[in-house]
Amino acid sequence: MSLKIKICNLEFKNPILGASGTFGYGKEMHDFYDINILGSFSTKGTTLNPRFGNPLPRIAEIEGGLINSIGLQNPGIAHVLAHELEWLKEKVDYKVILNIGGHSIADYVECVEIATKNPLVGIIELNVSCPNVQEGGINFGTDEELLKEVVTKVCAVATVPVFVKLTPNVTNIVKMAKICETAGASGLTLINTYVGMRIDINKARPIIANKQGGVSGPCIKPMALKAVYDIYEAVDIPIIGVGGIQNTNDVIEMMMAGASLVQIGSQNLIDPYICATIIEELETTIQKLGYQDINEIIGIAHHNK
Amino acid sequence: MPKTKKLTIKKHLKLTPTIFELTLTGDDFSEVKYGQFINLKLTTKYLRRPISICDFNESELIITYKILGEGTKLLSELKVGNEIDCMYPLGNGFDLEDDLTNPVIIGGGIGVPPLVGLYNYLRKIGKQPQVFLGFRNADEVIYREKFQAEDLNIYLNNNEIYQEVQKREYSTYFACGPTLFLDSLVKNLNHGQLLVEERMGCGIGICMGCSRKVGENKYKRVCVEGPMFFSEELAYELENKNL
Repeated sequence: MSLKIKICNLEFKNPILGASGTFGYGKEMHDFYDINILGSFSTKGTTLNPRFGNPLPRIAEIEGGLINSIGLQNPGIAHVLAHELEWLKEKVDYKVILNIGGHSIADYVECVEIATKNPLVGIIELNVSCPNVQEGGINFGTDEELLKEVVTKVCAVATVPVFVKLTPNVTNIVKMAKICETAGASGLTLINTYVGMRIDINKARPIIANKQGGVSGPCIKPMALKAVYDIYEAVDIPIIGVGGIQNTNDVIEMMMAGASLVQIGSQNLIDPYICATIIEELETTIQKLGYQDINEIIGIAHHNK
Repeated sequence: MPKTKKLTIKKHLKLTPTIFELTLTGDDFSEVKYGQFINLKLTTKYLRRPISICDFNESELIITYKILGEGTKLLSELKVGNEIDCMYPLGNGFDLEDDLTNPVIIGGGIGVPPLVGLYNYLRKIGKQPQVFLGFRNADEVIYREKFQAEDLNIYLNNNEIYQEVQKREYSTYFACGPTLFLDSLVKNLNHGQLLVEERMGCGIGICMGCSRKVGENKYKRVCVEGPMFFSEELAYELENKNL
């Protein structure tokens, strides 16, 4: 059985992708295994200009996950294309998903204009939801008009498919998904982190220097599944599912909810081999469930209500 | 190259009511460097726990830790024969190409153990490093026996240490301890190498959770380019408090 998935005229050798912010630009993970076995991966969130990010501490542990407030630390798009992607093109035969963040529509557009020309970029993943950047990142994903504007303008300059990574920190995520589809998005990545916090009771103050951060890990998997499930029914564009995926069964669950591809995020931090392990197990696990083709399971839960 | 492997607890000693020494076996550790760390996975906790390596030989890896939270409490309850999922060796470790003509070792509290292996190495290559150790009180003194009495100076007030070291001639100091203690060394002493501590997400450089600024537009991840920082690098953040 082949694990191949085709979406937006791009072929993936399997549906397993590293998620943005948990995979760097691939280099560190390549020390653990040959990252060419992946379907692809989504890069660290990249911005037009270099960013150092938020003050430390940036990490707090919770039950079943963690909170992070990195603040888009990255060397800037020019450096990423010239160095990180240059290194990567010798290592992988797939195109990568370039995750892009921004603080203004002009920033997003300029960054995408530069990135879209690079032959290694297969998909642009628009991070409209990074909850850490105070100067505005949050607004794009939670404000209907701003979301429509940024997606429209980015799609106008992009020459590769644009996937919008939506924030779940909204009242109605289905509505946001439809706005993206109408504005020209080729697909959606669902979901980004939930806003949360923790307090150090000895110091009587928030653990994270920036007070709040993005909650990820298995504790958000049920909500991620629900978002994918609901949006699958509402839009006709493909979905990349992400949120709390820990093992092969979680991947299948996410695909059954409607995801064509699945990103593994926080679990990489604890088990750097997790993507390789899942890729090894996936075919047998799907066969044992009685399916002949991996494409059969995408959205199948909608037919068996 | 870091790897993950299940290691077995060979010894688990209680040094004080809150400080424990754990000896792990199950691999060849000869590639480990002094000042590196190990990242432990406890079955009921989500993230791994980074802990400095105290000392090692081909078949044993020793870590010494203090109970500071739920994770280290759980670790202290593990028994000889239990297995722990470990990721190692991580970080850069001490730079032994540095000027070792007249080294000084400075440790504070639970920052003392990661200096033990280094001390043994320096003695082995014929150096006689002066050792300055600070503890909060007499009950918390550990590892007195790991150092030669002629090299050793123990203080129950950390503030006295940099003043004592200032009186000596030294080429490089090697230090580990609480952040404020290390800050006092960076501010008042010359060239040194310091092991720093930070909350980490991954320990392998992918999450950017532990980046420290070491210059204008320059950062280093504590987990990959650290945990050893040169005093000159740490001085940058101290001099630019309002980053």
